[in-house]
Amino acid sequence: MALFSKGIVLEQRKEPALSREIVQLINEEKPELLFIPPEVEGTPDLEQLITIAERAMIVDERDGRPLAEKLYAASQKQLFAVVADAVDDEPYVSSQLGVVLHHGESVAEALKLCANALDISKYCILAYKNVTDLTIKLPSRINTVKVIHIYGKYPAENRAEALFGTHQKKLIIGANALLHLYRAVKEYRIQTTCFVTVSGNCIANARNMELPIGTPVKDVLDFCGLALDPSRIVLGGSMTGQTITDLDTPIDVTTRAVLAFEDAAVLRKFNCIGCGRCVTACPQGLTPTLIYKHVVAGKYDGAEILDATHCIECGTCTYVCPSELDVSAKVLQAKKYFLATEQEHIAQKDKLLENRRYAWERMFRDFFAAAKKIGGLFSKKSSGKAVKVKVKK
Amino acid sequence: MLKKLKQVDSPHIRRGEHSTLFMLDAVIALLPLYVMAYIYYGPRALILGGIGMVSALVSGYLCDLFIDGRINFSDISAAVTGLILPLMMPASIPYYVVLTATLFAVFAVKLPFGGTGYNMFNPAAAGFAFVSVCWPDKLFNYPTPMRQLPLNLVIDEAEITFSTSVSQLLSSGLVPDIDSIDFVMGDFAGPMGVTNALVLLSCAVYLILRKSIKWSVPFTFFATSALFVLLFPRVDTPNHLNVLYELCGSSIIFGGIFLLNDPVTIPKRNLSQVLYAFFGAIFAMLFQYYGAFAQGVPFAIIIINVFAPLLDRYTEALLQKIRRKRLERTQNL
Repeated sequence: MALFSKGIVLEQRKEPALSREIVQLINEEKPELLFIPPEVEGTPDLEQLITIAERAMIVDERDGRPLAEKLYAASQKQLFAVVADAVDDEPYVSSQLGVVLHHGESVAEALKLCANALDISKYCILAYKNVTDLTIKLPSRINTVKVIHIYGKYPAENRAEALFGTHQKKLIIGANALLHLYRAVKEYRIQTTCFVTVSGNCIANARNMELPIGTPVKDVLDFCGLALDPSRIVLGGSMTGQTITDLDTPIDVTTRAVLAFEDAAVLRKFNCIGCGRCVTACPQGLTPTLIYKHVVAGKYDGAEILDATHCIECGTCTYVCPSELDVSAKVLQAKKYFLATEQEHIAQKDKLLENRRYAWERMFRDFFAAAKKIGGLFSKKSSGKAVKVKVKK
Repeated sequence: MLKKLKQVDSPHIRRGEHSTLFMLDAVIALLPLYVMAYIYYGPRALILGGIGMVSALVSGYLCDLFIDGRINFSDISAAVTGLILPLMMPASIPYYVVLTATLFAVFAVKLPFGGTGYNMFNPAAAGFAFVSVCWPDKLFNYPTPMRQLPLNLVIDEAEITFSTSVSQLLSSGLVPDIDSIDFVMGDFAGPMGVTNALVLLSCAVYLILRKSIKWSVPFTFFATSALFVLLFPRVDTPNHLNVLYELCGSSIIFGGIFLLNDPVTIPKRNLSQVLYAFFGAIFAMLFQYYGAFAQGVPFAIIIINVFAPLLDRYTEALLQKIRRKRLERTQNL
């Protein structure tokens, strides 16, 4: 099923970074930070686990949310499964997969702790296995924890979320956060580091690294060495990452990779010839070429039908475009435009509703005011009587 | 130490396939047809093709110059147009007719709409339609194959033996007396490149394997035309022969592969492409049956080109409902 999903086959290029040991860059001036642990007998229960995660200040690298918050939110819901996410579906990036391969037992242990604390029997590790990287051997089981391989085309991340059926609620925790949780439980260490892949066609010594949070990009590049002069440096994956121009930019927890690329040539200018490659590739079933044409013409009315708001920003359409156009950037522009207008629409609707509500209220107020006046005309004497009664009392 | 770093939108890797390759595929697929035309009609066929290609390329670059102020040498889409046009004409056509057709195709069909990628009609079909109105007597007069044609600028028509083409025979209610093998190989009077059904189909296989075209479009086109012929036969022959005569005798196969699949004018969704091919085939067969000219497919292509955006619109409206329903389902649960 997954093999026939829409998307693109990408050469993964995770080697040699993935098979090399994870290098630790340690800040010598700052000693390892420890926290005061809660009293735990045996395995920690939910409350203790949340306390540990909170005190260790663990942040999930998937979405940048604190792990304690995620665990607490999960405990309020009926969950089906706890899932460790190591789906590195973008080429060059292997910071999660590397952690699972080199520190798999710790990740599995932490996953078990989470599942026990949340009282869920189903837990597994998700890993992405593409058809193009047959050399990478993923274990099928780490310490009795099942590793589910996700096959098929890029993007796989949204497919991972649909695992076990879309109707089952599940807690997805990044593999790096789980490793930090393990360290916090066993060694009481506060999270001061993050895992980053340093790769790209300009990096001499591509590898996965464990860095102190806030390390400037320059230091990382210096450590790994540049084989070529890069023309762009990317924070994040090769398909969705952002370029930076300032090399002093600090690396934070959600940064999964630092990639340095040298462009082959200047982009050749070519019009969209309408080949339909982006249409066949789009995993959301959109028509990027038509959206692109609407945006280029600056004509947004009539483009609602193309559902640009469903875009998941995977960058597939730009990747396949033979005319080398920035299709996904234009689709994103349309998405932003429509989201903004949608909010405007909602605001307008609210205003209308409010007006209507006020209209009702106004009507009632007026009606009652009028009724009071009319009633007042008749009941002047009676009210006078009432006053008399009061006085008598 | 570092160059100026650029701020670029994601993604940062590309597949590296280029539009020029896309057009080169079409050119490569057209070359075997010229080999066949050379075998049947001699070097004149190649000269016609050369004139078409060179004039189209030059006028295409001029077009670029008018629109952008600079020439984009990697844009060889005009060459495809220039190579397609002579193939739809008889080998005895004067050179100036090919020249007129390509110039019209580039300057009147492509340039006013904004150049490559913006034209509304297929340039080759429109160029053919233009010259068929101007020189119908020359355009639908087909020489007998396997006889070398003179290379003169203007051919003395008394020198060549002309034969009646299959579609002309069929429209007058006669059954052509041609061997089936010859028929599939294209050894009968007709336009110089559209009669070789076998070669054409192998070109189609190449284009499908290269993912330049989708199999569903030519398949629907041929199937609908065949069905049309089966339902409303013109001559009294066995059904399979009738389908063979109608499809191979006219430019249905050529049009279904090279004109209908023009990436610029075709709709973009699978469903709309199939509908496009379906209605295109019906128009083509109506032109074959009731049209004044022996070749009706280019006219049908022009008509169906008009409806391409409309088909996309309606398909998109349908798809929107499906997409929204799916999104709702995933969000609610």
